[in-house]
Amino acid sequence: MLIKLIGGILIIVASGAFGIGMGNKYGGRPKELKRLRILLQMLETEIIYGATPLPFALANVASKADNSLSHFFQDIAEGLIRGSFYSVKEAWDKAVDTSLQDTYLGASDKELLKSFGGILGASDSNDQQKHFKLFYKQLEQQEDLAEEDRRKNEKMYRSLGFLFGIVVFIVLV
Amino acid sequence: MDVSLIFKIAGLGIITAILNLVLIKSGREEVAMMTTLTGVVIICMMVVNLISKLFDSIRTMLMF
Amino acid sequence: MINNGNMSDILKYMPANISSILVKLPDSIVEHVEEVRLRVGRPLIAAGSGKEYVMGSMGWLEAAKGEPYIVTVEDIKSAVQLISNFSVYSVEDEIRNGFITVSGGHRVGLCGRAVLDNNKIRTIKDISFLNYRIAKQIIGAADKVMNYIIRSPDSIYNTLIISPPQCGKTTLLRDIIRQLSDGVERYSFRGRKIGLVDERNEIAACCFGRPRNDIGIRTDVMDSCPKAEGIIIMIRSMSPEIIATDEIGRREDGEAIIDAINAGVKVITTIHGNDIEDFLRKGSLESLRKDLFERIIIMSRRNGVGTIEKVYAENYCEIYSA
Repeated sequence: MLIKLIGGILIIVASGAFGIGMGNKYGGRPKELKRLRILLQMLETEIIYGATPLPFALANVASKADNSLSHFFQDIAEGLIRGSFYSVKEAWDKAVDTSLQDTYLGASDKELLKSFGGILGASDSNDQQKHFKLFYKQLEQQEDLAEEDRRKNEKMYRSLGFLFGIVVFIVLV
Repeated sequence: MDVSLIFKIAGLGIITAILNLVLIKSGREEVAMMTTLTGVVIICMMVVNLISKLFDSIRTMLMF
Repeated sequence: MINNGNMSDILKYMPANISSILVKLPDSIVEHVEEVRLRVGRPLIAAGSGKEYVMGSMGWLEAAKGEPYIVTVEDIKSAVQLISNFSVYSVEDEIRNGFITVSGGHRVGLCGRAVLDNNKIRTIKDISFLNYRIAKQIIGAADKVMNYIIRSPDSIYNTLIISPPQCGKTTLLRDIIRQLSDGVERYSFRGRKIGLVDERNEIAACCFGRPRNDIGIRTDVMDSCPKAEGIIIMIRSMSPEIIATDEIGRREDGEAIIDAINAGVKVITTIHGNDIEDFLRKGSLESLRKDLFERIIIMSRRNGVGTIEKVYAENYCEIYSA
């Protein structure tokens, strides 16, 4: 009887944790998008008002960011400073593919980010500002979508995990 | 007759109801429907033995 | 003569396709390359010492047979990013002037579609022509003229250098500045404080405010600053004994130079022209004619870049002729 009980608890905890994990995926995305937007705003300030060269601007932003996003900016900055890339786009695309793997950002977010890499640094500050504005709009849209996704899914996956565990327990006992 | 079976069915019923609620709330009516159906089927499978036993005993009663 | 200009310095500002072609040039040619030209849809050309080297994808066309390498739009785009350190916005002013100075003092001229704003160039878009100019500081380029410029161990003559483009005018001025600033032992000339107003950033080749060329130990540099304003600021704030500046031409420049001379500061400057007549004819520099310059040096490239053609003293009387 005791073993049954322990087994049951294990099942419920496991599936509950799985559900919470799934839920977090939806919860993390809008947060990360928002953080990304704030970091890009910093980058914009560096570019428009500081006229800091892009590699250094990126490094500055990276020092203010936390973990995964910081890696992203750091990787680009380092790549550009070391001179291992011939354009920002190359460095940016590669960083999107490799450094953002342990974030919650989805494929569509990455696509959007990639489209921005080709523009960054490639024109005068007026133009850059416009592109930044446009990109914020697109990011906000993405944020809204992510937020809606979160509202729909986060709670559901969390409760679903537990409930499923309980069902399995009841059916098996 | 086992009382625990009744509890089991009750538990499943409650959970199916909650699942149904959660799924409907997050806008997945079809999935909610399926889940409810699955719940019903599972419970049916649990009681099908008992029902067949019931039929058997009725039959033996009448045929006798 | 020491030559610090080296083509390998600028290779890192070129896209992969192009630098990989240029490294195939033999060292004997590389030494002489002064310019590398990129034009969209046209062959890649390196030039130097009056010769042109059309490049094929395997190297110099005359040495290695094949089709010329045609520069693509992507090449230029990538080059612009590399030159500007991936930040076109941070070199807007340079682009407006048509060139960017990269580390090492080399300059990249650029051309494309000008975007106007109130009849002034706001920026250059769709850049499609690039000219990498390899800067060569020649230490000792001014040896031949120093004795004309130095008046006494602690004073010099106001000097004007007249020269057509590409004759080594800037190189000469740079070396004069270096020698006057460090002091010239041969004429027991003590080094003087020099204020260098480097509007086109050609003389000192500053990168983030730090001069890349040797311009002497007593030289202060105001780079990328309009000459007229720069001269006034220099006189007011840095107490120079000599003001040096490049390529005067506008009326304000002339007035600022008169101000400087009236303030007791010696002036060394250059203008474009072939002969002293060209200078006398320049309407905008009318005010400068009356004997302000005690020495006028005329340059040409008759015997190679940097030939000193003539030197005039006061009242335009000739004291040296090649």
